[in-house]
Amino acid sequence: MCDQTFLVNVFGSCDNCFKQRALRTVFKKSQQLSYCSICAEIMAADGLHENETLASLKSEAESLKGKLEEERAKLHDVELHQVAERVEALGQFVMKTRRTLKGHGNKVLCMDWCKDKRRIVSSSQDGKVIVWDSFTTNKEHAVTMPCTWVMACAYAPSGCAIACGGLDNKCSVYPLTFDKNENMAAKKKSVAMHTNYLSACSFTNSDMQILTASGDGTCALWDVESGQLLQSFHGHGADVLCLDLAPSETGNTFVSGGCDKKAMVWDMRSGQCVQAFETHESDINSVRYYPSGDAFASGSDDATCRLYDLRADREVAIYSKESIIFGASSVDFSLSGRLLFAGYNDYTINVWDVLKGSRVSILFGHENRVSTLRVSPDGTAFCSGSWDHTLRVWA
Amino acid sequence: MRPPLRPSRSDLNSLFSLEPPLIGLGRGPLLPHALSLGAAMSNNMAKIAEARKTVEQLKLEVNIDRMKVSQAAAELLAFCETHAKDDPLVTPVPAAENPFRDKRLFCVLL
Repeated sequence: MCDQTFLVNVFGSCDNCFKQRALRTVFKKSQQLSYCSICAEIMAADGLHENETLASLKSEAESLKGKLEEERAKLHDVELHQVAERVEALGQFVMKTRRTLKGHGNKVLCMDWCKDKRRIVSSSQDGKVIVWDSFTTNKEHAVTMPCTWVMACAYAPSGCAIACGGLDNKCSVYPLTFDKNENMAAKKKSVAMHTNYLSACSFTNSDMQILTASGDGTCALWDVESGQLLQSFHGHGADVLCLDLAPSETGNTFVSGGCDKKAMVWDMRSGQCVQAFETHESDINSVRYYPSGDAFASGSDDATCRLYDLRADREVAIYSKESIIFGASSVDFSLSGRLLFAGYNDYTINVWDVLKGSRVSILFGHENRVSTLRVSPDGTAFCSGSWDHTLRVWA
Repeated sequence: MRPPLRPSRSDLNSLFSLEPPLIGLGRGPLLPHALSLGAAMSNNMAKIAEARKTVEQLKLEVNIDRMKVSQAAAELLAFCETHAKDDPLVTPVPAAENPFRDKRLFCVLL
């Protein structure tokens, strides 16, 4: 299980307490040292160093932000759509609703696909979480949560469990059983505890760990079996609305987006923020990694979707049109990363050509805002959930 | 473990309410270092610690290795092109192979 590589930080002896821990880099009087997270916290809380006041620290922060922008701008030699001019344009795009999943009594808030490319779990405002077979549209399981507004749900990689949560501030895991006599709610396991609503959850590569994002401004990594908090991620200045894990080949990072308009990339082992991007003009509702793991897209209430490249450390594309004035609630990439599907609050789904930056198609069908959208694991279809109480599978 | 919550009056109200939960008006993140180091931390100290952490974080972010946009864009393009043929939504697969597209059934009436 633990043969994963670290992205940023080293495991070794702390320069301060000499204990063997995961280390992060700190600056002490301009000298670069490696401290464990505990010593780093203590150092940050030390009394004032010479010549440091709150005002001087704030102005230093401002000048560093300016320097960061300068460094990013230096490498901005060309636009993505210019490089993409030589790529062939996409052919005629025809997608229709192939299945409509009806059964929720209220707004559908979240959905996820199972790795078997067939089953879907969805959650809604009325507290119900339903597992569907998308080929036949049959409901296979249904659970009623003790709270309303179940804003997050996720399927376990093994297909044997689901996780969900919302206004109850918790993330609960339900093992899926086909035994008709068993009550699913009886086997519920409460894993995560936050101090505000749960906005997003996702299993990591195994059934054993869950990553959650909450309205209390933090993300957290939990062990499912014991319910223990393994790592917490502090840095957002407001509610965290979404998160996405990097595709497994590229390592232990995840990206989160929040109401503070920032998208932050985190290292899961050390809990440290690696990169932050603040170019959106409003809350970021959805983030999704590009299939190669080198970039991610975000959808926001400012009616734009943006592509950020992690190695160039900047925004490289904006997907917007003057005619689109409603926020994007959910985004996902097709398998190759050429297409970006985005669900909007004006009831439509726009399909964007990621490389050229142009809109390929608009899909109509939902009768209320599209709240969630995911492409199936094999890329043959995508499913969208909406406030009109239904889910639609498009192919 | 807490027993399952029975819906309270406010829950029942929100069940039928049209308003989504108040997003963006949360209390904001707790300051973990302030809490763990005890009540001796005054508010001012907490703000200074917070500002210092921000400065440290920004220093780290300024110092990361960056790639030119032209090279990063070229790699994104290369990825798209190599995987385009495997993507059923970009290079359409025959309807028979897509489990969601129903095959047309011809009814022959004799």
